[in-house]
Amino acid sequence: METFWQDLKYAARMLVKRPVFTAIAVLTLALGIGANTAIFTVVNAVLLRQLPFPHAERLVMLWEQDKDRQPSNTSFATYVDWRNESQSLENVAALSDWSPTITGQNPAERLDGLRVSASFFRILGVKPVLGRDFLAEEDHRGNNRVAILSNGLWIRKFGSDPAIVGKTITMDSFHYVVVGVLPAGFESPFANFRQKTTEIWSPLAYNATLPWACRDCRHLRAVGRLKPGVPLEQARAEMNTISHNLFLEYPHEYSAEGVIVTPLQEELVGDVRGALFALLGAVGFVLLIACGNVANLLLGLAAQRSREIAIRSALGSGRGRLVRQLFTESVLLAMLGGAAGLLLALWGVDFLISLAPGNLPRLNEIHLDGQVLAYTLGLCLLTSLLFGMAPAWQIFRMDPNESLKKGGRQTGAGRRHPMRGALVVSGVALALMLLIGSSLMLRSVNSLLGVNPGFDPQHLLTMEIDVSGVSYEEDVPCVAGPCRTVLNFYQQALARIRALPGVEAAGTASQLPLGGNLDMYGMHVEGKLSANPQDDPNADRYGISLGYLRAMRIPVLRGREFTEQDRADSPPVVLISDTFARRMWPGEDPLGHRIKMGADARPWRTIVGVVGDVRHKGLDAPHTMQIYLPQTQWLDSSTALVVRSTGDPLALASAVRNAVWSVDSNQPISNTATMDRVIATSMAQRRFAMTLFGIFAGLALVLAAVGLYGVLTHNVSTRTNEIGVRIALGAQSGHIVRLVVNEGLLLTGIGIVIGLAGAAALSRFLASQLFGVTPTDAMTFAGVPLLLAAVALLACYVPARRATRVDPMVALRYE
Amino acid sequence: MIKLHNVEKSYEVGAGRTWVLRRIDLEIKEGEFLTIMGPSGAGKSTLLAILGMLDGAWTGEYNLFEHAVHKLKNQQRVELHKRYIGFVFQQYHLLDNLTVAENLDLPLSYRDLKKSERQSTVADVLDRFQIVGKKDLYPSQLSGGQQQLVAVARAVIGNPKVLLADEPTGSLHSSHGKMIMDLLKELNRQGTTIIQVTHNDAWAAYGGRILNLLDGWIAKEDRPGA
Ligand SMILES: Nc1ncnc2c1ncn2[C@@H]1O[C@H](COP(=O)(O)OP(=O)(O)OP(=O)(O)O)[C@@H](O)[C@H]1O
Ligand SMILES: [Mg+2]
Repeated sequence: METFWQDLKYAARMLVKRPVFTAIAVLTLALGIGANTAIFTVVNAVLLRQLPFPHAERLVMLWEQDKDRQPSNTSFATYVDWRNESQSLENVAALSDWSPTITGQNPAERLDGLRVSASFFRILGVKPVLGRDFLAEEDHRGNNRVAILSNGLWIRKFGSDPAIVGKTITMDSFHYVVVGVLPAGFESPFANFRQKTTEIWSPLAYNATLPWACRDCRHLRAVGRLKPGVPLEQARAEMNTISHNLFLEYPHEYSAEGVIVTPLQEELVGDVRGALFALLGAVGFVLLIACGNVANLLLGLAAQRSREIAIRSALGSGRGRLVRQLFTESVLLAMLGGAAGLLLALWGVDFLISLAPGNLPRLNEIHLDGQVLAYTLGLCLLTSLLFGMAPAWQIFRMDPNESLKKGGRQTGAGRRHPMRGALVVSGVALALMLLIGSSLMLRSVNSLLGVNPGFDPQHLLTMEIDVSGVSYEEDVPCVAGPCRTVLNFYQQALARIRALPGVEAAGTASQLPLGGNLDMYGMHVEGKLSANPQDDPNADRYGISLGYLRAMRIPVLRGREFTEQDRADSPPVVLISDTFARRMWPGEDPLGHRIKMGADARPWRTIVGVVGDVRHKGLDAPHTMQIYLPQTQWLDSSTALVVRSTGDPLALASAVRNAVWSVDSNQPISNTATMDRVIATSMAQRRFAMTLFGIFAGLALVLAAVGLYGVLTHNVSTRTNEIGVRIALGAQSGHIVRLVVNEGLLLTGIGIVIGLAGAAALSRFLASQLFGVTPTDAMTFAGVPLLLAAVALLACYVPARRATRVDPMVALRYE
Repeated sequence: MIKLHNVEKSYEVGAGRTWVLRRIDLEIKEGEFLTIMGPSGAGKSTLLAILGMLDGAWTGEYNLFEHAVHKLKNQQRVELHKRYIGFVFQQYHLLDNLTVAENLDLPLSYRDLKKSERQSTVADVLDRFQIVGKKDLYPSQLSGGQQQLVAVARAVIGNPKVLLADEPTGSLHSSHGKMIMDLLKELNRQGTTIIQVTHNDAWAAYGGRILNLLDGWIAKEDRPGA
């Protein structure tokens, strides 16, 4: 113990005596450890930490598998069968997105909500802090006007009213009784693109007789809880059997592809998992480079200290003792670096959160905690081992007598350490891999920006309008009644918007392309009824007003667009997208053919036109089949307004809002944004990953360059005498510069070759982050090394200049 | 051939200035063998560096053949150096990681010569100094005398008119020292002007003229032969 304290004292003294060395080493380590801690904080919160529910590992999502093997929503009929027949699941709840507009408390506000089976909160294991959970009988029509509030909504909208339970609130002109308030810590794990969080819940209250409860009315999500001790695989096998039986029973409505069962946690973070692990790998590389640099600094120091070490060993200190002394220094350095890194990480995590896209799952759970601290501590010890190994190894190789004889002075050309070169080479190789990864991601985002979305996003203003106080069925022709009022409201609002100066065109649609909303239907095609209904193609549905296509500049390729004549009571019509036409009628004219959306009760619709494809799910998603219905024949309660302006679209925002409110001041307007912004948001996660990867690659590049610089500088200083001799023998500045630069470029070159091989092997792990560029893109693999070489040249230049300033008289003075 | 007039060199030390060379007037004829002697710190190496144009920071006049060195820019001095000067150091200063042949090639590589030309020159010199058998050895594999032999060979490989030798035998046993001195004498006989620094009276006697430096001043000249 005493020797430990003595080691520590010497180590501290050594670091204090060399402030520049210590500062550089601590800063380098702080960058590496800080970046790792920050990213690990995110990874830990998002990927590793259990969801905050009791036995969260038993929560699973259940999806029907579509023919592209992708998970898709399920229907009420299927949900009921799953729930009743499964033995491996304790219970299953169905949920449906719900965006009610709450009135009564001004202003009217649209809420993010879910309609859920009564068992929903029991499955999650959450109990209200006020009031009670839903009752089973409230999951039936007639008893279902009850609501549970999130803690946040309760505070925000109801001023934490302790007597809220039992009070009545009004949403979409229905009266709901508040039965419960959830605890403050509860965060809904079912947020999606559109809803960042969930604030209000109400029972689903479906029954088999409802038209939207049919077996191919797939618009529900399902969450279940495994029975204790039941492995996931068993549940998967069982669900597939159930699924197969359903297919045998309902071959026309149910697909044969099976059921996808995913742990809820995985489901929640599936999209970002690849990106986060790639980032964790990237910062790991950065740390390795940092360790290499510090190891190099220590080796340089060890060379200076060889005399001290020789004296110590001459005084009887065993090698083990010496190595322990060196490791004490390394650990002390790593701890200092770790402490500074932790400070960097504190700031870095805030920076990451500010940079993160809003739809990054569990964003609000990201914070430093004990686990992160333990990780950082472990990282410090690991790094100290890594970089402490080099000087220790050197001690074992050293002959102490020799350094004593020479008085600890470098002779001749100075001994160059092969390990120092190797460390630089690996730094360059690692940096190159990161640079290649980051430039592949950059090119992906670039090629994504080059994708034609199918409409002209410039000069487009978008916002969402919700109609409140009206209730009607959405998928019936709107001839009279409350929906007429809504339709009139939309038409008048559009007329006033179009009259505004600076407005070129305006229209509404049930959802924006790339806006994150999905409304998919299985399509029946007349005369082509598929033998297997699971071959029925799915199509995205848009309910649009007149003027929408023009405002978006979506071209009409064949036939006509909708007109005033497409009324609620006129024959049902539909526009289809180019992809739809080409897939279903290759080489034929689709005009005049009829299609029907899913449920048998729906009418046949005549195709009157073909319009251009738009990207719906993302710029990187393949073209889907799309259909457009006139708003008069399918009215949505919430719509997206698009306004094409002649100038800056945002400058029109308040005029447009006022035009809407001049028709009806009760309508909440939300999500005002330019279309460019909407597209940028759809790419936000990709950009996030790209930006971070870029930052880390840049950091790696700087560290690698600093490492190269450090070694060359050290070499120049140990070669002063040799350089002096060369100058005395007639070498000119050019020769000396070349001498140093060649050495640097040789190290860089070897690093580049290794790095290219490494990148070729590793870049496929980035494949999920790439778009429009192959993981072994030739341009990237050729261009990035050039960039790296240019930076390396810069790093060589300073030591090379220093070498030319060597006074040749050192050769004469040398004694 | 070499004419120094009023050459002076000083270093700024703290607030003042210390003089290393004072009012050096010196003329050296082509084919001379000059020995510079004097106590340690007298300025011998400094004078040699100025003569060899390794040191540019001095005042006064220096004429080398028809060139007024004091008026030349650094780059031109480097050119002159390459054309006329060869250097031998007390510590040999062979480069450890180059073989004997590569060490010999070094000065040639800094001149614009064709590779084949360089190779044949190196081969000639190896032959002339009878070290062909050693050409692929590294300096650490040679004795001190052999190393200095190679160093002299390297100094004369560019056919310098003037060979500057700063205590060439300082690190050698006397038998080796004699070999090197004989070699210098022979080179001098073949026409090379030699300027050597030595502390050894016997070696000084190899030269034709002895210059004594004392605290930067020329103290006296001896002409042992005259
Ligand atoms: N950079 C410098 N700054 C100040 N003084 C210097 C510097 N370099 C050399 N000197 C001084 O110049 C003087 C002459 O040095 P020089 O090396 O020419 O002596 P020397 O006669 O060759 O001695 P020795 O016989 O020991 O080789 C010395 O007193 C030395 O201290
Ligand atoms: Mg000297």
